[in-house]
Amino acid sequence: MTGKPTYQRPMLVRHQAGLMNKLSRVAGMRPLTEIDGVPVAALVERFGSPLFVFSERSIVSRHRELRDALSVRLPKARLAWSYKTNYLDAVCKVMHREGSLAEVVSEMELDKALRQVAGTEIIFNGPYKPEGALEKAFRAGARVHLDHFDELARAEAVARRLGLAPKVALRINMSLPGITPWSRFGFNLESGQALDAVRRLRAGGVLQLAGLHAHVGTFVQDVDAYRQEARKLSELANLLAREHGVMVEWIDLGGGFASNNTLHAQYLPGEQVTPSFAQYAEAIAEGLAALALPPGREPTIFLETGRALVDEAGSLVTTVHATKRLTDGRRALILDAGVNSLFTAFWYRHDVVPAQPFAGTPEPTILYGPLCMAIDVVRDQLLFPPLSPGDRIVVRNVGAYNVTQWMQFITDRPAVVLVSRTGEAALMRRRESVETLLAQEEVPAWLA
Amino acid sequence: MAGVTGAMTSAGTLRRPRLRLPAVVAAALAAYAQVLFADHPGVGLLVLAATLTSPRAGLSGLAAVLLAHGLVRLLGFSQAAAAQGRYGYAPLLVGLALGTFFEPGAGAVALLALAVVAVVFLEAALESLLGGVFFLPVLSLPFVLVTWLALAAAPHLEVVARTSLGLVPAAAPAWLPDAAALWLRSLGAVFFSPTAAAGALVAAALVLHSRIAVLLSLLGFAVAGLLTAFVFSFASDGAVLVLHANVTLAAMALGGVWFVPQRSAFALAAVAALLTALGTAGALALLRPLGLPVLILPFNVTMLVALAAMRQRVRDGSPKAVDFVAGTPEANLAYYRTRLARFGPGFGVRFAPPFAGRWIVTQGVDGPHTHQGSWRHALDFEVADEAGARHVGGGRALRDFRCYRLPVLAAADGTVAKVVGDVPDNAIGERNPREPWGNAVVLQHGPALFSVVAHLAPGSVEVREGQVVRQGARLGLCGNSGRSFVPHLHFQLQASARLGAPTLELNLADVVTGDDASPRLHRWLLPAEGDSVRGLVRRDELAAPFALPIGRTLAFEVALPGGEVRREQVTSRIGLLGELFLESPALGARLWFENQGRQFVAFDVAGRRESALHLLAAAAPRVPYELPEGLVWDDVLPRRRFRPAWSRWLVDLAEPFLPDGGLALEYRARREGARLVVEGAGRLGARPVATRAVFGPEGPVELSVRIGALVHAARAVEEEPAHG
Repeated sequence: MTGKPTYQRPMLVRHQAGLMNKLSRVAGMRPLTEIDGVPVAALVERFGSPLFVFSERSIVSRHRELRDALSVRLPKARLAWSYKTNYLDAVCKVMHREGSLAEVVSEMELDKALRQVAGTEIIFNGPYKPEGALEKAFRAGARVHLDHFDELARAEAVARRLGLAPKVALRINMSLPGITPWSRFGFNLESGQALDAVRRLRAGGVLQLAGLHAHVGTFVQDVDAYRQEARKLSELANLLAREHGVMVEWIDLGGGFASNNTLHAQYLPGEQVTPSFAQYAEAIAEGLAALALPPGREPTIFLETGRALVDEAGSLVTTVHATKRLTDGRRALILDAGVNSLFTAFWYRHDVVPAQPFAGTPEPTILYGPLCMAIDVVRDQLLFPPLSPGDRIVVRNVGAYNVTQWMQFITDRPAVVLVSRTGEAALMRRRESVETLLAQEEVPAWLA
Repeated sequence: MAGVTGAMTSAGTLRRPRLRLPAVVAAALAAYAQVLFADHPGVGLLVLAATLTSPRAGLSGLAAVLLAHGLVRLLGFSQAAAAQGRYGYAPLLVGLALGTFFEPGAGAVALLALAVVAVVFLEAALESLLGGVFFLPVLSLPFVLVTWLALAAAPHLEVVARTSLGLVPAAAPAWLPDAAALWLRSLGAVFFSPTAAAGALVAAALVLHSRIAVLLSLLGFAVAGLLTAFVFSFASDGAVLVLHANVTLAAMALGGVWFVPQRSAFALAAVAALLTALGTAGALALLRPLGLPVLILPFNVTMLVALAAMRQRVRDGSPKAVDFVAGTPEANLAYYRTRLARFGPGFGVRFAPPFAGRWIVTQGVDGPHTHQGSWRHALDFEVADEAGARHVGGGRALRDFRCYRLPVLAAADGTVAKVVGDVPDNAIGERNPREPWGNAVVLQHGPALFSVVAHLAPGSVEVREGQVVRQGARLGLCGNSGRSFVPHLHFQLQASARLGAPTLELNLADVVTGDDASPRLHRWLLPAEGDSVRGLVRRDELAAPFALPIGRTLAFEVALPGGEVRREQVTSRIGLLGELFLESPALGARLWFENQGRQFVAFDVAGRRESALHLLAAAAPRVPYELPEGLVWDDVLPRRRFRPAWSRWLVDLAEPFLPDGGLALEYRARREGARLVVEGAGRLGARPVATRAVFGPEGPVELSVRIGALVHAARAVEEEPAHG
């Protein structure tokens, strides 16, 4: 900066020795003034604040990193984009362009995916698939992963009515040491329920068993879970081939890879503990080495990684609305975006940086959102430089789940922008307005 | 066998729909055509006519052919060989010879019958010996030997010989130039009818059979003419004819039948012609005291000598021996050139990259470090990220290298011939000079064809010697053992299982290069240092339209360029050798294909040009079962198929001397809902060529080829209901 020095808000700080502690990353904090070459200030000026900004370069490079880590170990591995993580059309388009299938868990997601890819490129998961959804999926040729016996019977009824013999997969759950079991989804392996489901499905004579699916958890930082999951599914696939004459065509290992975010309960920052894609891929390949199907009948391996692909691509730009001093001495910043837009603030200690050069001594700060609710805390404790109203802050690694789980509460949802690999910015979703809200509303005639 | 190219598919055995001739007639005509190395019944008919210009000899020949056919049936020899005329041409020549040399009579008939029996047995015996042991053709040796025997035996059977044992010269029309008359008479002389009229019929047969053969016969004629004009001097006209007949046959056979008729084969044919001339001159002198005619002995001897001698070559390249099912010279040339362009100068085995995913070549063939001398044909690979970095962190630890402990795969189907698995990994920057190959797996893919992957991680080798592996099977993990400074994979081909054996030329089949924005599929490629390559991956769902289960019938409505529309049914079939093909019985067309691996490949198509199978071969010569965004691939189609009918025979004369390339088309594909659309574009001279193939879940639904304004198209229709 030349010319006028940056304004520095005066402050009083209690003198204390040594700022180093587990919360202190401020020494390395640098302002994030641009996203993929586009100045943050220009983005806000053009699209308003708060603003979600996604980097296409980041999505593509993460996608390719995972794809390449898999392809050198598992040639037949494919990614299926987990729609629930971020189902903005533009984001899905990037994923499909890079070769991902679509993984959907509701009829709405199915409808959305059918606008983008062929039905055969869709995996339909989830515990709630009403008849209409099943019919739509079967007609389109989607891969339906069955979750429970009632769904199996329902799927049979639908298929029989349509005169189809669709290929389906069974979702399996299993106990893995060190991982909280997700026994609510799918058929349990250890109790024999999974084999019951196999027998039941084959006895039905309508559906064709062609795949196995499991999902070990979410934000799984222990790659060994995948090694064990892959081995158990491989052994089940071997058993099906050996004793039931069923040669599975695909094995879906689910998702759950951790992103570089830091969970509230986590001691070390995410980028230091989150395994690399290569480490996940190696564990999976080692587990799948147990597969013993005949040559040429190797199943396709699907992964439904969502969060780890898109989290780093998304940033939330927010503006300091006011600053205040709390009675406990902490500095508080009131931002124009809170947990209504940033649902993941409940899970992570988000990485937050100023969007312009800053100076001054950092002090313990709490970041509040704009809601008149006690829960509206973006970061409850961090060392942050002194900022002033109008200054901008970037919350990083917010690409996953926020633009699907955000709330429409007392204010509009912000706009979402994509920055292209050539530094071009364009809207992916317009900022909502009161019209958005009113468009859905009706006033009963007697009140009109 | 997914790894074998179309070498087994035939170029010429099914060029045209056969007339349904009675077996004996077909076999007889085939015997006549065989003398000119042809298999066309029309050629046989013309030759038969030529022999009948000397009625007595001609009838004698015909009788011999029919007698031999009956005998072959009686003896239970291969009916397929008999149908090709392989037991008929020698008796034919014996019959012609005896009919020429002897006055008719009971004794002559008896001698003919005995001679036919002898020649059939001798033919079969030599087939077992020469063919079975030395892999050499029997040619017409049985004819020469039996004819000599008959001539020597004749006095004992009270058979009256004609006054002259030589070929009787006959006058030619005065208007015919001397050279032309000599050429025609020498062609006729092969069939003991050295007249211009008989020669003209043989020449017509030759033109019908192959224009390249005509060219070769003229080459032989020119060599013989120059020699008789300037080098040799022969007393009799008969001797000149014998020389010409032998030399012409030699040039035709070597240049057009046993070698692919390219420029180099013409040179070889000229050399063979010279040798045959020397042989004829020598034989004339040597056999005179014995009173035996030379016949076509010099041709036979020169052929066997030349074929056996050419096996000493280090590399079968130029001229290229016909190592596939031979057809006409034209078909051989087109087939070989197309195979070379489409599948590369390989060994019949297609080698996929010995790894999964994208790797980068860090040392190519003739590389600066170790790929030199006897070991020049080798490739080193590592893995790099998008920015080209081959390791993470400082690259001080083995683990830092991206390729370290990645799976190493079998490049093709084979048997594990040798395994070394216990050499420790070197630290970065160190090497093990005592065991330069480190841990290695040697696979055998065929006779004298082995592949080696070396520098594997210790304890990672998963296969054992003698184990049969399929392409893509995991052999071990990439390591840093042996003469290796940093983790990498070494790959080479060699002729023995010994580690350290000299390398053979190699290339990789069906690899994808280019970045994600512009991927390109190569039919075969020898990657250079710095190239990044990956193999194709099979997406099962893309393979579905190409499943073509055996017995599946597809019905098409074919719109011909002339405006005519007709229906055609093709059925998927499997041959005795396991080769898959689509057959159109009505049009006698066949398309050989491969669909079991990672792509659909149409190898070769034969039969009537109206068939939709030609459209399939042109519009989808290959379709990978993986279509990343923007994938481009090219393929080469034989040019001849796209030339207008009237020009084809003329172009045949020039084809051996034209550049190798066929019609190159560039293909792209896209998904349209449940359909797959493959579009190709190229140029044929000034005219743009555009192809389009649309595949539904069950197979092709739309095929079209547009050349300039001409469109040949087909669309799938419902199969006609079966009667009954």
